[in-house]
Amino acid sequence: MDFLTGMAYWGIIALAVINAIIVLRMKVVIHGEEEEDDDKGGRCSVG
Amino acid sequence: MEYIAKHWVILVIMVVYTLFCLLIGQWFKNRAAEGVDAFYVAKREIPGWAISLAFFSTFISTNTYIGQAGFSFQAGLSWAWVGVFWVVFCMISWLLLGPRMRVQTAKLSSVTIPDYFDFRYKSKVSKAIRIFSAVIILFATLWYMTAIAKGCAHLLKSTLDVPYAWGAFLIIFITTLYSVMGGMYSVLWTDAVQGLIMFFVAILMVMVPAMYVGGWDPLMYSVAHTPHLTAKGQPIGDGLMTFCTLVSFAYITSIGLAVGMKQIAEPRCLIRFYSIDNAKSMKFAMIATPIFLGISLACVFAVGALVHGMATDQEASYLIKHTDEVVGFMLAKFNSPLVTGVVMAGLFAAGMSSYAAVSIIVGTAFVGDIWKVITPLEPKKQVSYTKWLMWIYSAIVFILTLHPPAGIVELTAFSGAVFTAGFFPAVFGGLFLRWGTGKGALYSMIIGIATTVIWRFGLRFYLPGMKDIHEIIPGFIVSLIAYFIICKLTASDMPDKDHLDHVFHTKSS
Repeated sequence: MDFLTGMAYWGIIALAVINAIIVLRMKVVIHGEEEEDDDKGGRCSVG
Repeated sequence: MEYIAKHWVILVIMVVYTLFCLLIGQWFKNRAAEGVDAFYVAKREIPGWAISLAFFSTFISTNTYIGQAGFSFQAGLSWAWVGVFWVVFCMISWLLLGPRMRVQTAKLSSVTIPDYFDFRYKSKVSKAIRIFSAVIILFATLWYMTAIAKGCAHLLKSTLDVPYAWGAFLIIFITTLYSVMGGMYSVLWTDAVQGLIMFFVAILMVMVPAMYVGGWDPLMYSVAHTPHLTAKGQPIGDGLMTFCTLVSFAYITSIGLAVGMKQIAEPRCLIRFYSIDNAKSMKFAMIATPIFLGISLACVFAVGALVHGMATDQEASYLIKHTDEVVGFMLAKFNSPLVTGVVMAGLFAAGMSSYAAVSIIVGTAFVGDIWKVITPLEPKKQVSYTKWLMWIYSAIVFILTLHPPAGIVELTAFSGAVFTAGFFPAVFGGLFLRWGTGKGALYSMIIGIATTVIWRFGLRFYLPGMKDIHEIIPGFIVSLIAYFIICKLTASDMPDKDHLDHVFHTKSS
């Protein structure tokens, strides 16, 4: 298999790894007003 | 008796699988009946791993496991580049849209994509956007559901000798039954289990050619030195393993964008973000989904090319022109009822998970976004009517499946382009741009869809050199530009500051 063909396969794995690094460095907040509770992994407040 | 003796392994696997789906529907029946929030978005209490698998299984359908897998018989191992595009759009969808969509839809008490447009833009044309986008969903989804039912019915016919009409009826009836029973709860949980099955089936599928020839080394050697010919009768040689010898990168890009971009705009994918339970779950799903999708695609896209190692010259000369039959050929040649049964379960899982996801979308679009907007409905009636609508719509799909219109595959692919051109600017602008306006969303939708239709039916196949440019590309670009320009021109249509502060979680000064 030549380099560019193989790149599709290991490229998919590399993308998944890069994505994981990005997400781990991201602050994901879905709590809205109760951001401070987010790191505790509490449930979301609706509405 | 002879029939049961011949098919008993596949029958047992299929019966267990079907009963499991129905049991999940029954299990969540009462919880889904608790209200609109429960039936439509599972009260936003589903864990991240389940949402991740559900997103993966909803996005991927039977077409990927049969059509795309088989096409690499013709295109070679370079075909996996299509998967690279799909993974990139999966990442964009989760990194860019997922968290914001979850926050804003919860703040706005939105339970469907059209009502998100209504509540977020809070404009004079909000109701028009809501009804228009619901109509697009109802129309574009019909072809997609028909194509899935048709594919699954053919699969039942070829593997279990079930007559086509009965196969279509069984698939549509069972999937609609568990979706109606448990609403979004059963759709998401069955999707999650189906996603898990599909993930392992993808790995199993890529291993079958290697098991058949006695290992990876002999398989790769025979694929690299295949004596088979291309569809035009030229020797393939080492073309299966060299970059874009058998397929152009322009074509790979076209399919990669046309299908991959659905993840950033189709309601069946976006609605997944609504139901996730908390931030930790969101983070987990953001990491896991590209992994599930990427590994599965890397396996599935290689299958066709590797089947060259199993085929004689005569078989290859037939399969190269009938790539949809490559997976069936592989299973028949491997001749293991257990492997065939497990792969079949994976193929049905792929079809049923996508069907269930869109089935609930059409029910909620019609009742929640058209009926309820015209005539106010009590929550209990809204859920009840949604269930009835899902049955009625499935009956229409069944009739269409019995008499599928010509070019159903093209119509399905076209509907994806309509969603991307129509919905993406309104979703993206709604999530990120405070200056986004309702008029910008509505007119960009109309302009994007018009561009898609004109390009597909008026220009693409009539202008020289334009054939490989899928309608999704001009549709997407024109609608995005239209959104930016119209929003700037209609700044007076912006919602008030308090509303925007609430949506974007910014403190009022």
